[in-house]
Amino acid sequence: MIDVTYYLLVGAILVVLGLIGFVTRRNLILMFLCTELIFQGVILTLVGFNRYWLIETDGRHGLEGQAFTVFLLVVAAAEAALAMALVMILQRQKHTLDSLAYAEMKG
Amino acid sequence: MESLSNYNVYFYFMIAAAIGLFLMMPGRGKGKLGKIGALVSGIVLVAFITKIFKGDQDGNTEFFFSLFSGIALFSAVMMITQKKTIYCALFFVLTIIAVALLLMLQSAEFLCVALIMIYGGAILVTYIFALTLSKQEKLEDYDTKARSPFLAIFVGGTLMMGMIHLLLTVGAGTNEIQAIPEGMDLALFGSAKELGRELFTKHMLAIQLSGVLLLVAAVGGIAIVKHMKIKL
Repeated sequence: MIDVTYYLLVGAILVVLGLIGFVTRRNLILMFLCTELIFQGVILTLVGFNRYWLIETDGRHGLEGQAFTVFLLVVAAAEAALAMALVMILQRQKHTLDSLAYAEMKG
Repeated sequence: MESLSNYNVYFYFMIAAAIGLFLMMPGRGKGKLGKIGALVSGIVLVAFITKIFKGDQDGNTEFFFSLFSGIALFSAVMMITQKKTIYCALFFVLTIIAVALLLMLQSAEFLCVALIMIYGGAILVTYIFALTLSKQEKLEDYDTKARSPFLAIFVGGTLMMGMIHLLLTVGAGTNEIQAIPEGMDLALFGSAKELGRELFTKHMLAIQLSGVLLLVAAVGGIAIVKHMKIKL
């Protein structure tokens, strides 16, 4: 059986790769795609915790981690819909997807 | 599985992978450096996977875990370093499939199917739709040049170092706190029936609220684009 540490390790690497992608890429759509990559790492971590640690006393396996993942999918779907609508609006206004073009509020 | 006590090698892996990733970032030189970076990252990935796989004693689980995690990490790296955005989206689909198969290894079968359907189907279609609507004719400057890749990889590497230290020293061996009892049927524990029972008994209010959240998001999306004048 695979040690749970390896699942957590792969999840952590996915999160860090998503973080690096979010910071370095300048395309608005791609930045949101990188947040979805972070979600993938979190999903792997949650299910790993669920699989190895959540054993309840009456012999049934607790499923809180997987239930949490379902809610995460819901939030990700809502986020994708709203974020893409906002990105489309911004792109119509300035005709670019460059995130640096929308930096008016920078001091 | 090999003992996790000598975890220093993971630090060397990580530093080499960071250098490779830095060279692979778009906008670093013309071609050659990127290829060297890809070579370094590939070697590190293969070494990491074989290090996980080396302690294989029994069964196929280790083999499939190494395979799927290798695919997931490879496609994640390819995703954040590609210049063309549509390729990023396609590599992300590959990541999703690999992660879903990793979930299947943990016998979360409902989530495996749901992940492929919702992410690979619905969410990715939304992104690709937005990509095609944005009408990029050629490669723009903001896709071919990364923004401060050194700082980003430095911060990410530091974070990763902390997580490796935490996982492999503090976290190693803690899963023996709750060993899985004998006779417990693990094969069925992530099935749709069990997950549905969990969701509709313990999390009834939360599942209703998430339905409301989806409705609000749909209405909000329509309200945002309602005043947009589309000129095609």
